[in-house]
Amino acid sequence: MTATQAPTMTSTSKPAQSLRLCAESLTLNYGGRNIVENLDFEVPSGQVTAIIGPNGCGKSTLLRGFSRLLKPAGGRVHLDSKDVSKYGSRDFARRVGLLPQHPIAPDGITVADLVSRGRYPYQGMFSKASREDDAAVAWALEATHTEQLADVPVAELSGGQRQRVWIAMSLAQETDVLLLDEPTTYLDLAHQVDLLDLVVRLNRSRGTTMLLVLHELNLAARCADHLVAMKDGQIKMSGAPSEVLTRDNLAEVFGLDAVVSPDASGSPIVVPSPRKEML
Amino acid sequence: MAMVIALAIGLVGVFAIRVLLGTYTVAIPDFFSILAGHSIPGAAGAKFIVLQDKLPHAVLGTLAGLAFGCSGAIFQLLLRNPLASPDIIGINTSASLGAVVAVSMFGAAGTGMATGGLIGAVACVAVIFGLSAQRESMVGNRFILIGLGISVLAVALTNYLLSRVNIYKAADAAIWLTGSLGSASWQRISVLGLVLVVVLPLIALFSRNLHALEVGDEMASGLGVPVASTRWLYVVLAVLLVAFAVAMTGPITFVAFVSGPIARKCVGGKHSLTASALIGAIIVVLADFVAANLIPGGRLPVGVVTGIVGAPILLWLVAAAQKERS
Repeated sequence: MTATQAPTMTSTSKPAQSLRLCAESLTLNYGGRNIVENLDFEVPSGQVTAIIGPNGCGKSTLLRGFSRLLKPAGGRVHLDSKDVSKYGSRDFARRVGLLPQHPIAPDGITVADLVSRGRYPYQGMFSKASREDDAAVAWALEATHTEQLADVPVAELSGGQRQRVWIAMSLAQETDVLLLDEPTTYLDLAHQVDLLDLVVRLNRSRGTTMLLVLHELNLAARCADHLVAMKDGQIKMSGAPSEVLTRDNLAEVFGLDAVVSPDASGSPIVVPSPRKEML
Repeated sequence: MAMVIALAIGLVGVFAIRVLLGTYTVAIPDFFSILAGHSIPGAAGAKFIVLQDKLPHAVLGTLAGLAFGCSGAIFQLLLRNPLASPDIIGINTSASLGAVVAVSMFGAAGTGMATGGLIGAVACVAVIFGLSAQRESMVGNRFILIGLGISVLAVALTNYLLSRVNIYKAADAAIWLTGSLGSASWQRISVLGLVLVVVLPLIALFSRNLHALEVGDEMASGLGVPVASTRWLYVVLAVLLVAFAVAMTGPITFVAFVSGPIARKCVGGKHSLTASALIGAIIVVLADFVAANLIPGGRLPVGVVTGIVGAPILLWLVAAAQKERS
């Protein structure tokens, strides 16, 4: 199920540039309430970063701020020292991609058709798909192991397949930064691992900066180079997984009583303390 | 693409049936010689019947069908719900109300009544948007439920007004209210034709953006699609189509509603707007052929036929959607 080594690929993609995406005293307001307040953060370029935190802490909202879905109520988001609102929408979409939590699979379209829609920012109003478009779609299908599904209607896919196809669509966009909002929701454990390994592999092979929102702490520690723990719209701590996932930090951020021990590779494993009445 | 061409040929076919066949048949050579301006020896009435009855019916039916089919598909796509067609969310019934207000309060007839219908349709959309736009997104059931509420209100007010006007005016209005090509005239045809000539190319021009919205607003804006402006543009274009078509023919029910889902079944996601427009036109022309010839010596308004055929399709679609979900 899990692909542990990078497969040999026949198609290639243009390598990602290293872009600085950062938030400066960013305040994001949603439904009249400040969800993220006065936050400073620079997304580590060329790395896999996972944002963790309790429900309602502002993780997804922060991602929406980075992807321009939410206009800042205060502060700003910069991409290469230029305010993201100054970019044209296609221009921005060629640099920063977003896979939202609930994308909608349109009726009656095939996997290849869906993935090719990731080329939108490269196409003019009348232009047909160019050779680069076809190559990027072929690469995206191959990189996500969905090339056999190319002609299958999206509606017939399983949850795991569908999520891979959405990732393929985002890959076809060939962005330098990819923002993923809880990409493993609704997947079983094996498919979660599989998907996150895919994210890491794409980061290593192409250099895409990955920023994910994740709920599952152990999986976050397993895939991310860098963890960001949020609470109440603030970043509480940020760093290597082993620095962030400590017993004290878990108690502070999640109010969770848990034991943290290293796994075989040294990345931390969080195990909640046994139920009290069992003792 | 092959399917779209097949539908276009189908439209030409039903157009020919409407013009040439029926209780009064016309031979093809005679038809063309009438078009060229000649009278047919021995059939003095033929020229009149073709130019003032059959041909205007077929042309207006085609134009209105294209408009209904296309606008229905746009609404369904924008709101991501097959129930979101203009005839369900109250645009048709509001147009009727507008027309009846024009008849009963301003003594209008003909063009005045049509103008009232136009104003009613536009007002309905304005009210729905006013009430649902407090939320950021215009997607979802909220929009449709508000539309349904407006629809019920419009029907009630229409019936009230009809019961207050004199019987001749009420009868006149009632024919328009069921949707009829009976008042087809070359003047009406040119008005609706002009609207289509302006609006349809615009719809085609930005259709890549419209289809890009199908993956959801967030995903679409992540792809660099100007989501809000695309939505507004298409709402305005779709309302123009349906409002003018309703004004010219009355609300021919269920055409806008069924064309989109049938088109998707035929062609899938691509070219679904074109296919939906063609299917709308085929339905209206065919229904009008049935309406004109079903009762010997009499005529049904075309809306009666589309209603009788369309309502079961509505029930079937709802049942099918339920089955898919479970």
